[in-house]
Amino acid sequence: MGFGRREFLGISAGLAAGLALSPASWRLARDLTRQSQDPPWLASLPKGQLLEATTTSLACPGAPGITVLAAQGRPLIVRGNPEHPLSRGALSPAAQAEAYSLYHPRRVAGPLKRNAAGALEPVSWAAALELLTERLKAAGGGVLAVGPAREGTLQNLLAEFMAGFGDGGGPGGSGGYLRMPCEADTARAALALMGGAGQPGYDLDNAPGLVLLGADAFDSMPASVHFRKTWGQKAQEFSCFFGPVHGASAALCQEWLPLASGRESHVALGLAWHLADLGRLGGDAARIPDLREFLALVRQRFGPAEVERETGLPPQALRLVAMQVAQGALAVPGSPAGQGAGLAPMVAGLALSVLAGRVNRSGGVYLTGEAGERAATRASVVGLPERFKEIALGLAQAPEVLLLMETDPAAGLPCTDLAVRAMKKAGFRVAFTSVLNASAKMCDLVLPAPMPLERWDDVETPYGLAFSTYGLARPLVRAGADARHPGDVLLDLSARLGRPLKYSSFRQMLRERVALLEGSGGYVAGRVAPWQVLAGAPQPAPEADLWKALSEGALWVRPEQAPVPALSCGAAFLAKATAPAAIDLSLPLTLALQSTQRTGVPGMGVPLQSLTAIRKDEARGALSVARMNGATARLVRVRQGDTVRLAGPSGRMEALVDLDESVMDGHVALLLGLGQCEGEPGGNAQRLTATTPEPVSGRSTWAACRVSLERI
Amino acid sequence: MSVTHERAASEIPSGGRFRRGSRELWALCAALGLIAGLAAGWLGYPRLTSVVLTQPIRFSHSAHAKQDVACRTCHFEGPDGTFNGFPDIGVCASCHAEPTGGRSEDEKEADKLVVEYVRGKKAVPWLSLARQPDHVLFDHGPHLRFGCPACHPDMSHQDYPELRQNRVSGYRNWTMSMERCQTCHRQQSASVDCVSCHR
Repeated sequence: MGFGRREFLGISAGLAAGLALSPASWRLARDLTRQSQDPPWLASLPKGQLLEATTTSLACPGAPGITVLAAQGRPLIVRGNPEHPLSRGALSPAAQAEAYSLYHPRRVAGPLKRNAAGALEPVSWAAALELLTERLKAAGGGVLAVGPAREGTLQNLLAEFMAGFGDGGGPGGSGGYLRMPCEADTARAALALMGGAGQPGYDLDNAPGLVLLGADAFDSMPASVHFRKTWGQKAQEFSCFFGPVHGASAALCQEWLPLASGRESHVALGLAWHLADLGRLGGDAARIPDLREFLALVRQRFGPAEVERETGLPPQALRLVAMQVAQGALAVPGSPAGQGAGLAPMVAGLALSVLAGRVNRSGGVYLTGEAGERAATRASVVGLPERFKEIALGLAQAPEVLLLMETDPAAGLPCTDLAVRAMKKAGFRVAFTSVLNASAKMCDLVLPAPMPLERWDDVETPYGLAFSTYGLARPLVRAGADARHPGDVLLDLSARLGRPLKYSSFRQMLRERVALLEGSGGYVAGRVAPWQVLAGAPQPAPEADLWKALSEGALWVRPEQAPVPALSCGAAFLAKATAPAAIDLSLPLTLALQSTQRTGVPGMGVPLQSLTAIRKDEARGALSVARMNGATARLVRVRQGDTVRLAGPSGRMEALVDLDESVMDGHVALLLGLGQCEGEPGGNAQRLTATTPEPVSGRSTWAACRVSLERI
Repeated sequence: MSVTHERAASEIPSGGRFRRGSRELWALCAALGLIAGLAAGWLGYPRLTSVVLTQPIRFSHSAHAKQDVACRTCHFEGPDGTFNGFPDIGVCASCHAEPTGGRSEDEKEADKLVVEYVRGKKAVPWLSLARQPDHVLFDHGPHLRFGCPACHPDMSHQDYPELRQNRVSGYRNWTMSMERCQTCHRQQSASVDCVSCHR
């Protein structure tokens, strides 16, 4: 009797039976299932006490108040601050992404310098600043700086820094300070042309109705966070949207009146005709300096028949809208993409408010003063697209040094191919940036900047608000990279160049700015909202310690009801600027650019948290989706899902066709903000755009570009 | 016929049956295997797959309760009732700023807290007893009315509850099972939709 094969089989059978009668197999299956449900890449909940801090969003152009939840110094979630007077708990995608963005995959970890082989390699701050100082000294007046579109102390500092290089921004000069294009600059220029000063703002809070003359008031306009919150509670009020695409702004309005891109001024002037015909001009219309010329212009060229021929809108529809304007509906001019519309639509839209007597009246258009000095007023009179176009075409001298202050013109400017060519001509390119964007990749020196939530900074009156505002953003975490605040770097450079500025640090500059506000007539918004003051409520007393209140996320506001000088209607300008323009028949479609905060403003890229929210009708892989209606698709002989090549006057891109009846005839809608960097979804629609100078003003316009389309 | 063939022939069971001695041995082996299998399944597997975890500081809940330290002194809740994490070291330091120098176990642990964490301003890496997996979202707010022991170990009875973690799944012995959640949710007519608790 020995231990053989049968005995072994006996033991095995017993063992198997024993295991089968025990719960081990079931427990193993259960444990493996649980393990598969909890993969290692799933984010773990942090340990440690959770702390909440309130501040102002720096990433969002609308500057909403945010509450940041952090554990052990790590921000976890950004929420809307319900106590903030502007946003009242609302949040935009850019503000929501502030916590995620701290761990951006393209974040610049430290200063980078381009080596002899052409690659960017790490360099110390000391060496980087020494190199930059040397190049700035050698450049003399040939230094060109490009700043972001938003207003703030950093932009003022950049303007002051550039003033030290002399007036290199004059005609033919290679230097100067320029800003990324934005609707706010266009509105300010329009107001200046009409004899006003400051920035127009729209009192939606007190308006009994709303007429959006192309303005994307509920999405890409900086004040949209506040406007959405306000108008969402006014669903019963009359509201209509004129534009080529039924987008976010049209969705919040009762009526969508399809209007071709570039025809906004025709509608505004057509409404002015109806207003005059109804005899409903404002009580102070007699004060308008060019009233007679303006009325003569609209009667001669913008009668119902002419406007119907130009826009396709029936006169009855316009008459109904004009009656609403006469009853107090607020007209907001603009462009659906928030850029590139030129002065004419803005002047025509503002003229309608002037004619209806709605300027500086509750529920009307307010001319907001400045919370301090505006960088925009110090920017070069020549716009950035025009200057880059001239440099690219060899019509202007390229700068010796190009400073990019937290901007990405290579991705965010219209006609990006020309912008890239212009940048390549610069002798030495420097980027102050927190992420390696398309422009920074082209630079010779990259200086990392702290992200929002890591730095002190301020935000001023988002365009669209009817009152001046000022908010502070404070650092809640230590910088996750070897970054220095661009403001401190500029102050350091000034000292190295031998012309030190009077501030010891950027934070001190902010403190002085806040100290100036204390005596300038505003207050910290709390129980009494600024629009209530505009409606007649008494203004509360100023805050005792403004710095403390602002650094904790409060908002300084200054509603202004001061009488303004009588504005003109810009009749002389409009007579020339609205002359019929030639149409390139080889390009059969009009490009309807759409800008939404979900996909980021041009030059910013898609906010990290929105990457998973890109819909199939917006982008698929690296291809953008070109939306058009069925009639347009039949006209250009394409079908749903076709891959097409869109070609503009100076650029082309491929896209997928998506049939969408929310786009009007003859238009192809493309979303801006996509494809700004390698690996991001979609293609950059700015490549298709081409700038054309507006008659009289000479400003670049690109809101109604023509494109051709062919199936591939 | 060779010797080998003779031996092989003698071991072949007649009529398809094993010889008596061989059958008993086989049964014995099978019985041993069965016992080993049962022991491995019932006793070995749980021991093999679980690891006993020890808190970095042997924190005595009862010692604190006796000194009228309320639960909420250390276990915070957010403004909306959400769980607010473990106490910051500053909370511990508000009472344990200096070592006691005592010799009792509790005093030694208190001194360890001061020396290793309070003075170094280092957060104590507390281990969560009822840690839920990362795909579970548990909001404390709606559950507070049922009392902490409804889900957590009752610290009035267990001062130092044993903490074990499954090596395979990562679950702990105090981790609530989905069945338990579902049972309670059904009793309270609360939602049992997946998205109510899972992400």
